Amino acid sequence: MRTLLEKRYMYYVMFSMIMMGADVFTANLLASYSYKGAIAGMVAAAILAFILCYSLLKSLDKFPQKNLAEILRESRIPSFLRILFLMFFFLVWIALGWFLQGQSVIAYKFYFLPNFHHSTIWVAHAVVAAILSRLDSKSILFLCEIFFLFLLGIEVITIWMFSTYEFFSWQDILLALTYATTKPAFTTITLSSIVFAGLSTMATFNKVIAQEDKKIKAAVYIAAFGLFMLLSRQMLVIGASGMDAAAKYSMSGFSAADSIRVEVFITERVIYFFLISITTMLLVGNILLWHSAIAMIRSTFNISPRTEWVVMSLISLVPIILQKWFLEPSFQAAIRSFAWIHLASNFIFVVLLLYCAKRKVQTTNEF
Amino acid sequence: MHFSSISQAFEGNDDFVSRNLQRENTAISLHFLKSVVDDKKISEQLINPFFVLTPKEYEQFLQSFTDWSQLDEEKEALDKILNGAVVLNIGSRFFTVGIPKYEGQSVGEVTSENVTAGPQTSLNENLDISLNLIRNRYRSNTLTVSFKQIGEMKSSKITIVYDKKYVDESVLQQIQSKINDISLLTISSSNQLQQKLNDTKWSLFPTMMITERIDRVTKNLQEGKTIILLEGSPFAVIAPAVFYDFFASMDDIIQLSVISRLLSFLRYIALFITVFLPAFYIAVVTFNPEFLQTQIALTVAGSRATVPYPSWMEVAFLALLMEFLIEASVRLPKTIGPTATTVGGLILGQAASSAGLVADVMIIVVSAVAITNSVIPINAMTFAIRIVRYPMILLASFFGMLGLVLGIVLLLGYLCWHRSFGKPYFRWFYADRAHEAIKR
Repeated sequence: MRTLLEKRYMYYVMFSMIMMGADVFTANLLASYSYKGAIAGMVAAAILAFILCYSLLKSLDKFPQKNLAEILRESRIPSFLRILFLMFFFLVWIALGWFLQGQSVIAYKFYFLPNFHHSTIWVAHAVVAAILSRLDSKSILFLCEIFFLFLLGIEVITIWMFSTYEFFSWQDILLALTYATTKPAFTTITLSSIVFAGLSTMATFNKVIAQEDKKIKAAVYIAAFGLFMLLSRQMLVIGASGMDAAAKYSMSGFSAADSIRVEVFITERVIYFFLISITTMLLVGNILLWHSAIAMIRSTFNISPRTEWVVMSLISLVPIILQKWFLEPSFQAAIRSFAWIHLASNFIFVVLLLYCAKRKVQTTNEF
Repeated sequence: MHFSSISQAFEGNDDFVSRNLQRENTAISLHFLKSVVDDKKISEQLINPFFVLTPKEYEQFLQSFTDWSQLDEEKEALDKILNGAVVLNIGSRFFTVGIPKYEGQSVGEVTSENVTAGPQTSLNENLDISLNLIRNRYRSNTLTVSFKQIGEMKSSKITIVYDKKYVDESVLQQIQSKINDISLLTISSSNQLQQKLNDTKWSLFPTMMITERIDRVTKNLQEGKTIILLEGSPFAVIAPAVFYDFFASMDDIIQLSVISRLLSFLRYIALFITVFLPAFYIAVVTFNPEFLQTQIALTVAGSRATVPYPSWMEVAFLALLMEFLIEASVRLPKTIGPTATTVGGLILGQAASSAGLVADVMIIVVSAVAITNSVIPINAMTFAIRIVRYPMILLASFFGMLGLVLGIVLLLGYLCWHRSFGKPYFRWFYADRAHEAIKR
């Protein structure tokens, strides 16, 4: 029998995605919704995440050590539907990977490699992500563990540095809190939900991770951590840039980090330190997503390694075309639109699993 | 007490000997571990008198030994055998006579894994001596020793040593099967044996440890590892070995816990510096000087003012020079090697800096890299780390800080993917692996 990894790896995947999502999507996009119910949207997203997470864990309980493709096959879902669903999830994971890379590319282009072309940076990222995403699931989880623990430390340092910065405005945070009861725009919920992208990757990692027995507790932890990260990122950006500036800036997260002019060790400005950590984690998040995608294809079509390489090479080269839309603010608009698809995909994923679980219970009862 | 239970306890041990002696109507049997008793004394002091004396006289003669005792319990017999005694079964009674063998005179000192305050004796080219040294330091009846002749000519003798209480059966089976499949005519060194046991031909990091230290061998036996000794080689091969094993010095278990943890932490910092410092230098000097604090950036820029070529060329030039010096120090005779390379290094560095061919800061970087590389306790890992540095330099030369980040992720991805006999090579938590070993 295959040895399973400890339950904590599930939390690594979920929390890593939450942290990197909050660092880039919340800080850069949600801050501009400060007057439009961003806080209420985050709370709503956390409640949704709790429901989805609990349902997901409950339904996966019926399918230990199985990935989504195997679950669908076992549940006798018609093959055209099965392929349709899997291709949909495949595209969502690949696309989310591209968006993570896009955020990384912006950071590098702005702060480290202004003379490089967008597509060069993007393809370099994509090639590394494609190579590593082909590793086995356990190796990917070991990698995730290392970077999660590393980023956790960075997150603590970030919160401490921002909140102790001499020009950090607590007044603006109080002002932002007065908008907590404002009815949220739906985009704030979809954008907040993007941080819970780790949920759907369990479609793959369920195969190698031991199942969590305390499902309500797990769902509470994940939703609470997500809400904490969303709120803390939002508040840090508002505190560093001010409520109005946060609402108007493009890439307000990076701008806020840029405004913290603190020397650290041999570094002139702490932003370099933050950016390297965040972009590294984005790459790891990208690997997690693409691994889920390629694992899904692998177990659906039994493709040869050579075909896998061809598929991943094509996926790595797509950014050359994508960078045409890369100029701000169209990229941000694309993320906003994608956030809707992503939330829908999370719903479809969980509902599909619930259906399969119910079907399995019925079949077992019949016998 | 039945002797069958003692035999069972030592089942699978090829160095356990049971010998029956018969003379007229009298029969005795002797039981001992060949590796910890003195063969010659057994023959002279136990076997010869048996054929000369009457049974009663023989028993009285045995009682004249200072280390003589009559046994009542089985456990006592096991302990005595492990401590170098011979158990004699006369009729229904059991006696023991201590005839231990301590190898010491013919044993050399450790040369490649020095410690400040630990044992200094090393393993030996003679298998019996090595086994004696291990048995004398790891006295457990669960320690199992099995001999094998390998190679197509069956001329290379090896010994597989493990503690059957802790050993990972799957790893042991893999090792035994790989050993049986070795198709070379002869095996002349432990390194050659290690290469033959390796999972992949192009593996960059070592997945087995080669050591000459007996304390390292016994420590690894306790952790459930398998030890392979080769006749004619004073080194043992330890399998499986994970990344952290190569950063553990035997000083760590000798020193106080706080000190050993600090030293261990220092080794990882050294690892970080030796792998990434040259690449980091290229990234900040070529692409992002603003990354550094203004004063440092100006110092570096001033130091590079006379250097006519890009920083990657400067790094590659000095790093290669350092590699040549290390290689030369290994090949040169011991009497002149260290002097020649130190003087060579100093003169070359000083001259290159004065001529404006390399920056002063670069000399500091390369020296730091060379020093930190030597902090890694196991040589096999030192070599691997020396190689890993170059792809990092290459990536940083092309992509600056991005290249460095991509290199770090690729390197960690490779390490996480790597396996040693099916065991994960690189995981964050050491506690997990210790737990796994104990669980086994």
